[in-house]
Formats: sequence, structure tokens, C-alpha cells
Amino acid sequence: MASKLLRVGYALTKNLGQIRQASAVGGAVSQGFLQELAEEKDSSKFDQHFINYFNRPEIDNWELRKGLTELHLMDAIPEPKVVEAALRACRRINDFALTIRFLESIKIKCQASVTDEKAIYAYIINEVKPVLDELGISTLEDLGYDKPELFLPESDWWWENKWYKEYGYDKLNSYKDINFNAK
Amino acid sequence: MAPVPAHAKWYDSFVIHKIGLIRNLWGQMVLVKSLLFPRLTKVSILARSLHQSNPLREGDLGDLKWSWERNAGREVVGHGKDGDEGSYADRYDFWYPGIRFRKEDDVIKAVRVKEKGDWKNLSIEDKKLLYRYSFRQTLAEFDAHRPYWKLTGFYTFVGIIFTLAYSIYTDLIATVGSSPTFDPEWVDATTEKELYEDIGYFNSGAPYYDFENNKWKV
Repeated sequence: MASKLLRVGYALTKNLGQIRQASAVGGAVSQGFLQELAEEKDSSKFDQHFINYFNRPEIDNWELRKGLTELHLMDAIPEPKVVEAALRACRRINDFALTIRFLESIKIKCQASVTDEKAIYAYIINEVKPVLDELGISTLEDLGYDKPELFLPESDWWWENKWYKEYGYDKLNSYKDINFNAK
Repeated sequence: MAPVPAHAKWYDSFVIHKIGLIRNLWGQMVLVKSLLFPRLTKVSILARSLHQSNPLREGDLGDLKWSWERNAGREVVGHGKDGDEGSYADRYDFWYPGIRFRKEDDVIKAVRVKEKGDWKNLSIEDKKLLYRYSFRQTLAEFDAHRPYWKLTGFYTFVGIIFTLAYSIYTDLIATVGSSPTFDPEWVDATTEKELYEDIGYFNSGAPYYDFENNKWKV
């Protein structure tokens, strides 16, 4: 009886972790195909691929993140046109945090070039500045996110430090002490 | 140190959900220590596996059963690395995680209404709040150096000092005078004896000794 209930419960919950089988464009596009496009001298095909995807008016948060992940996995710094299309897509789904995350992704891509990292990032931001001003997106420097702001204390591994109280961290002894209903 | 916003709690850095499971450094689901140690005193429980999922048998997919609990009411926005809707992870290769970091609050609901309008109306604090509710660490924080190397280095140093002290004690203090066979005169007498006895044997000191002049060959 109990095993039957468990089996039913498992059947109900097993679809939660299922991987959605959608691809970036309607049709199966492998990353090898995209990487080869990125390595060509003329990047217009690679750019157009992503611009067409990001300019879809019915785009979803899930699909946008899928496209941005594929763009992030490529060994290429996105062109300003692609950046503009992605930022406009974020505007359409009303997700501001994703724009900042995307700008950080461009910064990660620029780290590939050891000597010109800041120059390339500054160039891309400069090219994209009209769009940022139009949509009201602030850059990382405006928010103060070019330097670290918060620290991640790994409190399960280390004892309670004296500065926990200053920071407003309270090391609770077990999950029972956490009040999940407090505002 | 920079001031921390008032809404931030220590458990924002990771989620301990109501049944007390937490992911450890190796990605295994284990109980938090305050619940684990009392459990270990019970032999009947110790006889079963201590881990709630077995990565050797199930791989990284073993705790998909607990995706809903680990999710703790957060909004699903994407695929992430696996499609696991219960875990949030900042990682260089999958920079856009599948779920928001924080649950929807009364604090953020007002800002989300503003987010639907013109973004020029959002203040800097609103923008920061929106980022912190969707993501755990910024790129600068993800890349930043952490101070734990000092503690690890100190522990390593202490360990090396203790082992050195023990080895020096055993070699120079504890063994000296414990037996007459360590005296230099005794050792010289035995080497002389072995030199003459082991002539012709492999691995003896005889090839390196000049018997005519009673000296070691250079």
C-alpha cells in the first residue's frame, strides 16, 4: 500500500526535472555548426542567425536564456547588432536583471583577449550606448558592479565569526530556527 | 567592508529547505550537520546509507526526485545546465541559470510592476534589487579572491610543523642513547667488519674501499 503511494508520488514528480527538448532555432542546430560559423571571417551569417532568433516578437524567457547560453558557449565576442537584438528581447519580456547579466557575459568573453580586454569591452559598450540610453539600461559601472559588493560567507563550513552580527547574518543552529514566514 | 542590504540573510547564499538537506562540496545531498550528528548515534539509522542520493549509482540525476523541494517556491525561467528545476548555480559556462535565486516577495512585487513600465523610472536600488533577486553573485564577486586560503594555509603549516617536530624528536632525541649500537665507534667497527666479510658479494661496500691504503675511494 505504501509502495503504491510512493510509486504514484514518484510518477507525478518525475517530470519536474525533465529536460525540455527545444533548440535555439526552430530545427536542430548543433553547436559545432554554430562554432564553425563563428570562425569564418565574415561574421554576418553567425550574427544574422542570432538576430533573427532574438527579434522574434513572441520570444519567451526560457527561449531567450537558451539563445543567450548558446551565444555564451561560442568562442566569439558578440557584435553590437547582436547585443542590441538581445537587449531589445529582454525589454520585451520585461526582465531587467537579464540585461545586466548579458553585459557581464560580454565581459567574460572579452577576458579571452589578455591585452585588449578593457578596450574591447569599452568599444562594444560605446557602440551599444544609444540602445542603453533608449531603454534605460545602466552599465555595470553605474550600478557599482564592476567591483565586488557582497561577500559569500560559507557558514556551514566555518564557525560563527564576530562580523556576522555587523552584517546582519545570524548563524542559526538548524533549519528549525529559520522562520520561513517572516517578512 | 561594504554594507550589506537589510533584506540579505546568511542563508541567501544557499538554500536549506525544510527537510534539512544541503548540497556539499562534491555535489552530494547530505543532511545539515546539526541534524546529522544526532542521527549518527542511532545504530539503526547508521546502518542505512547516510547520503540521500548516490552519485556513483545515479550520477547527477539522483536528486531530481527532490527538485520541487529544493526549488522552495522560486520561479523557473530557463534551462540552466541540466534542466534541473531545483538548483541554482553560477558557473562560467552556463551563465544564465534556470531558476531565479530568490522567491517572489512583497518587497520585489512592487518593483516588478515598475519593471513592466519604462526602465528609466527604476532607481539604482531597484535595479540592484532586481539583479539580486534573480542572481546570487555578480561577475566581480564570482571572480573575487576569497580569504579562506589563509586559514587553510595556517592549518597546513601547523600540520607540517607537527610532523617535522615528531620526526626530529624521533631521529635526534628519542633514539640517541637508547642503544649502544648507535655510537659512532660501534658503527665504524661494524662497517669495518662488513667490509672484510662481504668481499665478492653484490651490494657490499667493498668496491668503494681501498684496502691497501685503508681509505674510501673518492
